[in-house]
Amino acid sequence: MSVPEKSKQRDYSRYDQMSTAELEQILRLDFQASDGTASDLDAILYIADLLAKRSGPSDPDAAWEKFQTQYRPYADGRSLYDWDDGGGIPALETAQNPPVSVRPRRLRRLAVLAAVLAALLLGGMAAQAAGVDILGVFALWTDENFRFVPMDPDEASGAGTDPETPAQQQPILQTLGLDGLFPTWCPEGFFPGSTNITELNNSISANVSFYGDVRYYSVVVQQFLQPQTSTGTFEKDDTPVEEYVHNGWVFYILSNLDTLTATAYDGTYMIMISGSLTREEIKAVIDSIPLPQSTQSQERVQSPIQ
Amino acid sequence: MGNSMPDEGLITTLYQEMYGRMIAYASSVLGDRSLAEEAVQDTFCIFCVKAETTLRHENPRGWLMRTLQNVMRNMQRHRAAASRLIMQSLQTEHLEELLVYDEEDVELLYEDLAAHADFQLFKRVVLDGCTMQEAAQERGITVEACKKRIQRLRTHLKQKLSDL
Repeated sequence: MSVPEKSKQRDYSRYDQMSTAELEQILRLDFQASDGTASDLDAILYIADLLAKRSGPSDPDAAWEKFQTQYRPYADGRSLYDWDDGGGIPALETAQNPPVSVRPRRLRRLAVLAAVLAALLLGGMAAQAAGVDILGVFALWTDENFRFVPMDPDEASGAGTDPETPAQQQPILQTLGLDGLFPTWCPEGFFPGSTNITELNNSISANVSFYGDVRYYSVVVQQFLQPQTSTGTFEKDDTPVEEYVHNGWVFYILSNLDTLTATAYDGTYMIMISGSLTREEIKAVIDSIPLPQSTQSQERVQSPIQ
Repeated sequence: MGNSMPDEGLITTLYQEMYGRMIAYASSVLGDRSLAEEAVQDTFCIFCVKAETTLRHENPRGWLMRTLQNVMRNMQRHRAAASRLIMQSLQTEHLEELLVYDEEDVELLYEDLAAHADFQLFKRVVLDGCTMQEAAQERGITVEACKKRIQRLRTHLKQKLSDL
């Protein structure tokens, strides 16, 4: 059986059309958001299966042989990379609550008010000054999900725009300086790992992870080469989303069990801070981001939960 | 008789089923195939040590993925911390003093050489991105010995640097 039986009940074929880079990004984001929270295991395994097939035949027999001769004889129940005498993240203990095969079953329905959406779209278009390329975005969330939605889907799809090529965008990224979008402070006890740059067809992202004794968080800044109809969906619990304004940017702080995520999007750049931080800490991290003053209008709507 | 043979069969089956997926996941996160392979092997080691429990878990595949995530997190966390420790050591004026074990262990006949060798091993794993298995193979030692040497040096350096 190459696919979990349960996954056959849900259609993941939408992932078949995604590029390898996009699928890898999904897995990276899943990892970054995985501090003790549930993820959609079946979807993750489906994506991993896709990537495994695309990368060509592997040699599990050779890997098994290496496992049996070079790793397993010395296994003691702790990770090879658990170099602390008594600290570290005990891989065994934290595996007590593995990701569930399906999303938590909350008996709620997603309700989208077409009238509210239409009013916002019209209002958003009216707010755009003539001759100025302003892309408003609004945040849409329910008890379970959060995402940014462009005011004008046609605008977001690139219709009528003249997007710059990635080569033209690259100097802009460098001249702008990611430093301007990255926090300059981290809570005591944390230290940064290496900076990873990921280049996809439609975006460039940089991410840095911060490690504490037992806590962890990451900062991701993503530049979209064209405005997006979807920047992804964040899973959340039913804690109310908090808006936090810094230098004219609205950060949405959402909770998913023991993980906080703060995210802001201005149509070009998306900033995401996510991990095991307190609300005060995440706000302090936000406050340390230099950030150019935002000039883009933002609207927001919250779809009611039934 | 017990259940040792059926358990081994289950382990093998699960390994064959999950190996490719876990490699794909770990490669996406770590960006390095060799490190991904080591993370997966490490995860299965932990799984096997507790096979009596893990094989009977309601969701062994989920258990494997969660443990893989923690293994990778450990890997990244300790590498980052170790990188800082190495940089700190290299920047000190007392590097030669640092690389001397104050051991009374009579088995350590060549104390300064052991510390120097351990430091090279430490740098190989942390700065060169070498896997523990590759580093161990280069030196003709086991991964277990590689880990113990790194732990020993790491503890030693932290103590010495804090005394400076």
